[in-house]
Amino acid sequence: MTELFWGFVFFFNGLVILYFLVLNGFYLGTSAFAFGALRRYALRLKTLDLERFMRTGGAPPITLISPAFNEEATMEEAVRSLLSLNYPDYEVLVCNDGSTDKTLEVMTEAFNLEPVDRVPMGDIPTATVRGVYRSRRYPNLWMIDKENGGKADALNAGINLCRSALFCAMDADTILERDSLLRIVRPFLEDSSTVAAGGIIRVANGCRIRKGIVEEVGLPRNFLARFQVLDYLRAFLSGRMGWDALDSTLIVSGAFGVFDRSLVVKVGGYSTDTVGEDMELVVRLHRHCRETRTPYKIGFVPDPVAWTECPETIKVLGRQRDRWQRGLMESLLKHRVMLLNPRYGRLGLLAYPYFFFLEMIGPMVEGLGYLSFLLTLLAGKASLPYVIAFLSVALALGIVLSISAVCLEELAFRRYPTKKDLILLFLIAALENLGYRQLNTYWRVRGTISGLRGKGGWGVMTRKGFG
Amino acid sequence: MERFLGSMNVILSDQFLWILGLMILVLLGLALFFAAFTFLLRLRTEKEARIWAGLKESWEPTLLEALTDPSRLNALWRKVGEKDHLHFLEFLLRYAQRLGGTERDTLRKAAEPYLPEILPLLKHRRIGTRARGVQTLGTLGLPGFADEIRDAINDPSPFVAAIAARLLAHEVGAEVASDLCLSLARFDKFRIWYLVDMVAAMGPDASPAIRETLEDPEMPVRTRAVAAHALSVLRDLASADPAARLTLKETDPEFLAALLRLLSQVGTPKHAPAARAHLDSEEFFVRSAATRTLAELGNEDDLPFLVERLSDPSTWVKMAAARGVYRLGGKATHAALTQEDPANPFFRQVLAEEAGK
Repeated sequence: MTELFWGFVFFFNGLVILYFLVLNGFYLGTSAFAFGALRRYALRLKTLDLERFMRTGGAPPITLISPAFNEEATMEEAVRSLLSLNYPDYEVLVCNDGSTDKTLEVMTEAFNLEPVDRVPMGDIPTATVRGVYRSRRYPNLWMIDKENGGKADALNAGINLCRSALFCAMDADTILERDSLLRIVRPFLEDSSTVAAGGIIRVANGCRIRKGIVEEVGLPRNFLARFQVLDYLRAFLSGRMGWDALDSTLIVSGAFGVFDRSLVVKVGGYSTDTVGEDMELVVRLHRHCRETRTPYKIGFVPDPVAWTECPETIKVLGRQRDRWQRGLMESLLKHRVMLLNPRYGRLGLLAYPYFFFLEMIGPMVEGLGYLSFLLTLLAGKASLPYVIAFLSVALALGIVLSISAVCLEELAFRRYPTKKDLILLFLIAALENLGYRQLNTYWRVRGTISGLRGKGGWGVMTRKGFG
Repeated sequence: MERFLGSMNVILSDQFLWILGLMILVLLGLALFFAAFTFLLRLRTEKEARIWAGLKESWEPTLLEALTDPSRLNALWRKVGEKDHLHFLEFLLRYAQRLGGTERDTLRKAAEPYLPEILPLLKHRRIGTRARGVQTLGTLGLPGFADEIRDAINDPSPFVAAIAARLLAHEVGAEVASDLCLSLARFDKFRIWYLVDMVAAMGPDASPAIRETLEDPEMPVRTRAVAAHALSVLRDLASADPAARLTLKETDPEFLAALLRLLSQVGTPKHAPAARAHLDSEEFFVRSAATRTLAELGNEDDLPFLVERLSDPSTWVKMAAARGVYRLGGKATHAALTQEDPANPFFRQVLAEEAGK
């Protein structure tokens, strides 16, 4: 019996090593693809003449849909920032999702809103819309007041009232850079089969922000937020850029993504039964287009930036990562028919299995791996030098991947202006492997477990605000 | 099982430990390499920024003088070092993208001596470099280098070709209209409005060539749709008759919708039958375009057709019909219909829109 147990533990340890090798192989692979893609992209960026683009038209109208729940403190500034975007033709549609605070009152007062009639052009079912308002001062600002139904429901209400061919889904507290719409719309112009595109999300903590505009970029003082700066760089510049180069973008962040309205309406809008509505929609779009043999492209554009405030406490960050993991899991399980299915091409054979086995199940394997290694070590069944050597390889690989993400940032964007920032980022790249990474694994394991138990909900996200 | 555990011990032997040790060294080396590379990139960027700032400081005052007094160009050229020609063009390009009229002409003149140095870039293997070359030459070198930019329309990369086409349309205009219309098929992946904007940028003088494209049955249907939309933007009255004729024989829905939209802009009441003929089209966007066109070109006799469209399954068509009813029937008809169906949101929205005008 004991032998059988240890046999299993050894087998599991082997599995953990295999997981580790494959996962990091994928990370290195996407980083390599991202490197080539970003180099080419940086060159192409030089030909982007935004001034001319603004002047001469050809830019399709866009509706910005910003779902808001209890945002009375930040809404006015966020909307003012949206109204000052550099784009020739856009509307801002704020969806007050049954806020229990004074979001509607604050907005009405600040922007002189008046009730108006606006016919929904889409028919996605949503919670009851109580009224539609339009600003007397800014004709392109609208507000929907509806009963609470969650973020996905609020977005759906916005999509129903959207009249433009494209809409931009975002978070109420996201700050879009002034040129972000001009930049993100490019793939839609250059390839008419583009149905969705996501921009890059960057951490606003530590930046100097005035009147909804990021005036000076800097690293946050809070260490947890610093770790997340690197998280975002890795996720977007190494991960999404690499997957985009492979034409296998499976996630467009809910904080900033532009979509083809008619297709989203056709597939039924955002799903309201998942906390990962952003990923679920993208997977559903892929599935729909593949199944109906509709030519399409879903891409990632690395230069349009949306700034977001990231959590600075372990409790809130834990909740966020738990929710992300649940969202990932729900989306992947819902569309599991795509897994290793050649009908879905590269997506079904490469991207989907990666997310399924390595991002969804992976944290469980990693978490149990830590326990199993510890057990093997304590029982004297493995040599200490071997375990230390293995953990050192893991640490070194983590450092390589994080530093390569900083390198990608430097190659194309150089947002962090001082050399001190670079040194700090390198330092964080080493430190994050000693505790932060394990914490992340724990949160994701927790998310997987609560997902399996069918626990829903967003949890409370506490924000300090940009002011 | 014992054999299994034994083999595990072999695996965990010193040899394996050495391999792991080697891996750690390689990975740490790689991490150091990336860190050093990042730093070198930063140093290079800073150096370039310093050089650029120095050049700008040296050129800018004289350029500003030259913009008001072109005789100062000689003084400006004297400040351009042998190795800085491409930098200088880059510097001028930044201004050229923001300025027009005589100031743009002065910038073109300032660039003239150095533009031939751009030509090798047009054949560079990198798409981004070729694109930048075309952009610089097209912004600062047209119409002088029109042939080179025309050639770039045939660049293997549609991205480079589109930059060339767009520059020709904006900077040269009607003169290149035929060539540009012929090349539109190259850009079949681009969104139609991007192309429409490009074609319309050539201005009203280009209308005859665009009209020819519209009527040419040999042209791809998407190209003809672009032409229809562009003529609509240019409000080319002469295209109304051909457009109306084409609506009777063309079947492609996208093209039909474009033709109907063109008619709504430039048509007269005699073209209203073309719109009536497509009110029952299978595609909602054609029905919607036909409804809008009928609202523009029709008369009170067309009201029943529009009222019928109020029960169309598409909200887009319903909305167009509600606006049309208001337009053709006036407030009285609208009020009567509203009384019949007071909850109809389409009528309420039209009234709100009218009140807001």
